[in-house]
Amino acid sequence: MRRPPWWVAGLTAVTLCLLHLPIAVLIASSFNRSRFAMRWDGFTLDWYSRLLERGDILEALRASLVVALVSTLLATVFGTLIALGLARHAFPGRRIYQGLLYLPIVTPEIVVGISLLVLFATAGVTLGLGTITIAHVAFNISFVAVVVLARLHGNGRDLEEAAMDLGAGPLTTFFRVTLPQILPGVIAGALLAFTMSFDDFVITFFVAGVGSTTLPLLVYSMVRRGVEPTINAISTIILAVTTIAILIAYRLREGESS
Amino acid sequence: MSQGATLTPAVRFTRVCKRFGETVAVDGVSFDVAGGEFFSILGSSGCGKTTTLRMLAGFERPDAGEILLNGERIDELPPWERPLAMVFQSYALFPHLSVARNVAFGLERRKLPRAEIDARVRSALELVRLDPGVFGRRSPRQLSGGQRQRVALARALVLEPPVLLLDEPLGALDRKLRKEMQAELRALNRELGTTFVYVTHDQEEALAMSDRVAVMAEARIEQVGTPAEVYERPRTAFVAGFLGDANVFEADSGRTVVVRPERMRLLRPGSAVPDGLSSRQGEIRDLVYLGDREHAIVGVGPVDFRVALRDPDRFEGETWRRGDAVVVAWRPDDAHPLEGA
Amino acid sequence: MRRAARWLAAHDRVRAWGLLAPGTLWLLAFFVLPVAIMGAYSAMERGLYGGVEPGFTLASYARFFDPLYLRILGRTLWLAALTTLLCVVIGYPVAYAIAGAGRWKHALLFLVVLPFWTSFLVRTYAIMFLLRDSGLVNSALLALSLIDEPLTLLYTPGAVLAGLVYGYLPFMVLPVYASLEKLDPALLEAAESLGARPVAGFLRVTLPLSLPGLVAGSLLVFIPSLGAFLTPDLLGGARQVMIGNLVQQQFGAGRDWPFGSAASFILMALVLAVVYVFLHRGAGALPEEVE
Repeated sequence: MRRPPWWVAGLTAVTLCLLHLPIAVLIASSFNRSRFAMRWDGFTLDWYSRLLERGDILEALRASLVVALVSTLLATVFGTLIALGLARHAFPGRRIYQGLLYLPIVTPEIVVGISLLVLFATAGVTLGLGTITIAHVAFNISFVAVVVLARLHGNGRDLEEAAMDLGAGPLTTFFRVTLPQILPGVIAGALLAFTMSFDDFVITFFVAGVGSTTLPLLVYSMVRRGVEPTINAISTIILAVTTIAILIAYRLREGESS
Repeated sequence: MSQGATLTPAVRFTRVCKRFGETVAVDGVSFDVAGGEFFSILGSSGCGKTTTLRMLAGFERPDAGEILLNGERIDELPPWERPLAMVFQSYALFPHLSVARNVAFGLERRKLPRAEIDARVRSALELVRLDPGVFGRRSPRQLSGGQRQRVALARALVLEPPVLLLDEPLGALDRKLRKEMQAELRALNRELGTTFVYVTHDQEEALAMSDRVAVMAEARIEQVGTPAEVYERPRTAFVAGFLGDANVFEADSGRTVVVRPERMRLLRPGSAVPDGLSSRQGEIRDLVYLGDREHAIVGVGPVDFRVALRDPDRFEGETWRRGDAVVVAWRPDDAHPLEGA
Repeated sequence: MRRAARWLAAHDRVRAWGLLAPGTLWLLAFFVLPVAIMGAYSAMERGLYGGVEPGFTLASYARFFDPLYLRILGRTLWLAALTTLLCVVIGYPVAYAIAGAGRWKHALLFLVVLPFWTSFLVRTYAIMFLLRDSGLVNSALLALSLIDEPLTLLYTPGAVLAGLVYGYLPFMVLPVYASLEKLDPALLEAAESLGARPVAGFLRVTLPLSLPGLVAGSLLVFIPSLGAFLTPDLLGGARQVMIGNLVQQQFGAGRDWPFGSAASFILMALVLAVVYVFLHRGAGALPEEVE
């Protein structure tokens, strides 16, 4: 494509700066001794060290990580299987199924959250980390499936057929040929699921119940009570965790396409 | 080489240079194209022919030199202000417009009445032998390669440009279609009187269609001349080899010469060599069957000669086999000395 | 074992369903079923202490025609539409610039995508942090003596709009970029060689061919905006209520589960309607696939 006119490039630069400004301010403020963004009172890690004193924050962090890991594992397995089933086999209703797979992605989070609350209430299930995990698996299956499916479309069955021709049975073919091929896509899907689970607020909000809390939930209640720099510190940590996950996913993608 | 001192050439390149970063794409290229001429720029990929054409069209700016169109400098003009039209290698038909709208594209900007635009579109399509009634409303996606090519041509010709640029437009077509289109392009050039500047890597194509050919290699023009000139009297070994099969070797006089395979004959050793012919002795190393002709690869000392076997050789019961000792003979007049190396 | 494997190998369908089963069952149980139950609730009587009582009634849906709730619906549609429009106006030039950026493409794209991948809550909070009375914007304006006292930036429709645009802009940039990237540069050159000036070339070639990207991007912005909950909650306060907030209220303090379910259902119906319209009518405007 052509080089854009100067004013378009300028507008883009401004937009990109504005896009990162709020986050940059947030991160900077987490190291600012002053509570006010305009005044820089000196670099400090106080706000971070205070986090370590807060048992509730550490607890919430631990909960977020556990939920994210467990739900990512399950969602990745289920989602990958679905993607494999869709990509490699033709069956009546495949198109419809594929379309329906997008439903959880398109449905507003609040609807998903509320409906799960209703389900658990009707079934008399106590809300807690378990229900949170169940919910996270539910919405992540579609994401993983869609990501892996996109990767699978490129690959034909040639490699599998070659393997079988050389004598490999179905399980061997799967583990030694199919899996290595789809692994980058699966990892990308898993990273996506992890990020979405770790960051999730809305759905978690409705299925968490009283006893359990994840990091986003905790941040929310802190924000409701009033802004304070500790929140900036937690936010920076959350940003760091998710950014690392995304960087890994990006690296994988670059490495694959080169 | 200009056609005549009095006539302004339709296109004139004067010492035009272009580089991309470290690479020199076009190095001091100069040539004239006369009005109404079918002028081909021939060369292999990377020689700079496409860059030359794009500079003429206005998509690249020359780093040095001048480009004149009908005597006026155009190097400062953007593409949309240059009175020429281009047919792209990929046809570049607008996928979101119908065939008729594609052809009308350049006209619509000129604010002509609708009726006139439609009429000119119709005649342009008829000119390239596409039925406007059938093809007008179709989308480019529904057309075959050959049909798309014609639409691209119609779209450019409808503007009645004084100069038409063509960037290897026939490359994607199969051989038979290509030959048909070559004939049609040639006919259009004569009918319309439009100057054609045609870029190709296919030497057969260039020879068949052009009034004059410019052979380009490594950013420079090696030779400009009529098809006969560049084929029969190539200036360099490169031109000789590019235009067709060539035997390049040192003649007895010490000069490097080129003799075309079809100008050589094979004789049995011991048979009399007709008067006046030059000859060398050798051995047949391979026979190549090409359908309409056969070539014999003859090893003469360190060099391999390629000799076209003519029917009389075969009819006379002379069947050549690999390993046969032979004499290769040719008329001295057919040995064309090369300049330079 | 061998026999089972061979049988499986021969029955493609069974294998397919075997692969699909675990995920599908989970989705049926924890996505489809809940929505169905919620649908049932929406047509039931309101329970005394929250929850529902048996009894079929469409009263909850009828309540929606109250001007108060219609206004909420209207505001939701309006904010979502405005957000989409702003994202187009801001996002298209950005996508255009990135598509023409040569070797900086990937880096720039990464810069656009990065914020989007980080926590939505954190980003919304970041806007809060910026717009509050003692936040950076007000402090800067005060310091420059442009204003005498802090502007109320938070808890306004503008703040919600800013939050939504900020949150969903990458969703517009990516699809538009994708369709611009696929544009054959020869098409623009052909237009130019036929006499079209740059503006004309953009309007008659580039823009129409990037329409699929625009449509996709608009879809990806409009739909989540409709269901926005966090943004109006944190940035809009009690005054900028959108459907999402309404639903949450009914399941919280409002204790009106049927009404909340009905509102939720209406939201979902709205979303599905938009998807349908975009994909079926919009698909007509899109060029068909080549070959």
